Amino acid sequence: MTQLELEQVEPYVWEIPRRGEMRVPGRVFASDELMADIRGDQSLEQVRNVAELPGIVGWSLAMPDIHWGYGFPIGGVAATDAREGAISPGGVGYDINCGVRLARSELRAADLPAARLGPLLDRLFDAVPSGVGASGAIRKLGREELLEILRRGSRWAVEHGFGSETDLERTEEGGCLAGADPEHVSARAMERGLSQVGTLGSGNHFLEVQRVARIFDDDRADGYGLAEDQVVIMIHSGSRGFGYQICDDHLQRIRPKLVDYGYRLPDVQLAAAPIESREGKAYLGAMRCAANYAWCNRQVMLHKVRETFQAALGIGPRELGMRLVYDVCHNIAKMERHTVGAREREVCVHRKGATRAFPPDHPEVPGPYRPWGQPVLIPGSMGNYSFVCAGSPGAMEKTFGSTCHGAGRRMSRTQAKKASRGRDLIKEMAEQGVIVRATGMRTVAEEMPHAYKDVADVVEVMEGAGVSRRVAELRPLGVVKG
Amino acid sequence: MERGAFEEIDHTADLGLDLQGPTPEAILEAAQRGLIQLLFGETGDLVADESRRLAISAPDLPELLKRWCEAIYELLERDGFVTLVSEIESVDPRACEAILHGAVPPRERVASAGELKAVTYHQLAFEPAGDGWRARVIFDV
Repeated sequence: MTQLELEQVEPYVWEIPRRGEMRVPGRVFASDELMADIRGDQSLEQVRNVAELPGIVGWSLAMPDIHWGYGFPIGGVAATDAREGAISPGGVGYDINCGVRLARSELRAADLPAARLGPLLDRLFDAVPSGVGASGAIRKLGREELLEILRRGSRWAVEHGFGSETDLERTEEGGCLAGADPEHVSARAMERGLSQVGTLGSGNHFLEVQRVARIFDDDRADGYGLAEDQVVIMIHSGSRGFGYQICDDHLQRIRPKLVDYGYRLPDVQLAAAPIESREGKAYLGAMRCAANYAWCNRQVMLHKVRETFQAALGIGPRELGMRLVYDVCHNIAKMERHTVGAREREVCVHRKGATRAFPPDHPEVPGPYRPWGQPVLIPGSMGNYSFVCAGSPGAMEKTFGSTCHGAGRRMSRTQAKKASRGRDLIKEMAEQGVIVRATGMRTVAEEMPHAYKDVADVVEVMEGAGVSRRVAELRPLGVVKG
Repeated sequence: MERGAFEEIDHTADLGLDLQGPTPEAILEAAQRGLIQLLFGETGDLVADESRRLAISAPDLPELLKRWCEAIYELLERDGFVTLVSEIESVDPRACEAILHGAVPPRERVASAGELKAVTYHQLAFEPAGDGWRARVIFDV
């Protein structure tokens, strides 16, 4: 239980006053109930530690799904000055551009009774490889093809038949972050990346067939192409072994240089380099490669899902009508313009377990969505509900255009496995109307709903704080897990 | 060799091990057992019928522990090789040589293991303690 001093400065917003080596105060978004959970681990100390990052501006922020991570808390946001500030690989995380993609369809829940859904999930489980060492979703790539993916992201996939131009328009950054530089990608990362495009991975990654259970905002739902009882698909995955390797490689390069930079940081995992330094630029170039890899990965998976739905249900693309709603990343560092104090400036926004949430009329929101704000995809725990939200103006004032990214763990994996012992979790889920296909019981036990906070509480906090608003609630029909 | 001991750390998001042992070799051996138990679970039915030689270098002992764990996971992810016994031939602060004995179970069983994103630097430690040694390692999963 943390004893850190906290002061509530407005409803749902708590401040950790600036003390000692902190360069800015900390700010945590939470209800009283969520704060009780948050105080139970070391995540608030991590918010305080991030406040020591060189060049940090505004606040060291934590979203309500914050939990104890390594270095940065998960659910943390930090903006550093784009010229004089630092870039921290730990502030992005190992799974660079881990993110969520949602596709809508013309199907209704009644079109997928259990007798039809079960075989469909079996085929999805085969089409989208999952688990440790998963590979083979598409043929093994050559080195030149992988380099193209690193530079061009989702566009490579679309140009090779895995999706359409519309998919790119509805992906954050168009599915390609500019400035990717493969020169700073190691041979080991390349080796790991060659065979993993189109694979889901393991842990909390999943593919869910869901139904729109409730609409909170008719206009925005309509604008996003969502309607009650519609079947939608949610994919949660990232840059796989390729991204993990890049983070690790660059942490190893940056760590020995901290003294040269004059950086004193409270946790080695916060290791950072000046953005303008050789190491900082190298990391950013490689990180952007991993971001592009992740977008391509999710694009290929979506294409596999479309093909599988059509084959399993015996319907054509028009009848299926599976169109990407949006794709967001929640582990990333991006150069953005924000108002800090009274001045607009360019900052490097680190989002580690946090989602971009730009408001209506922001120029980076895709044209069709501009009147409504950027769609924000917030997955809940496995088998529980998820939310589609929309960015609100408060995000630009309070959180550098960011909001939460999920439910947030409340139980360790060990505790979750203990609590699940002796229970037939897959049968329990089936009794609740959710069919699960998984490579093993280990991740199912670790990812059960009782291990997580209630995602409804999390999104309510961000709505109450004026940062993002609920548009639709999604309930799972079937889950594919690694 | 007198064996070390491992204890799982109750970390909210990730997994970790606290390690104790009379020698650095015992710490690495315990880390191998702990890592395989965390990720793979029960191995009692597997027979160590294959071997791999491992030579690792690192700038210091904590980094050596990190690279040791990474190498064992790489064998699991890339080759499906589950390390059951580690025969550590030498350890100094900058290098380690070992022969790993293990098994290659069916791919579906390996796929169901926990995925390791990284061996992190967070709270990473490997140092003398009293008459022996202690270490800590946190994994991003």
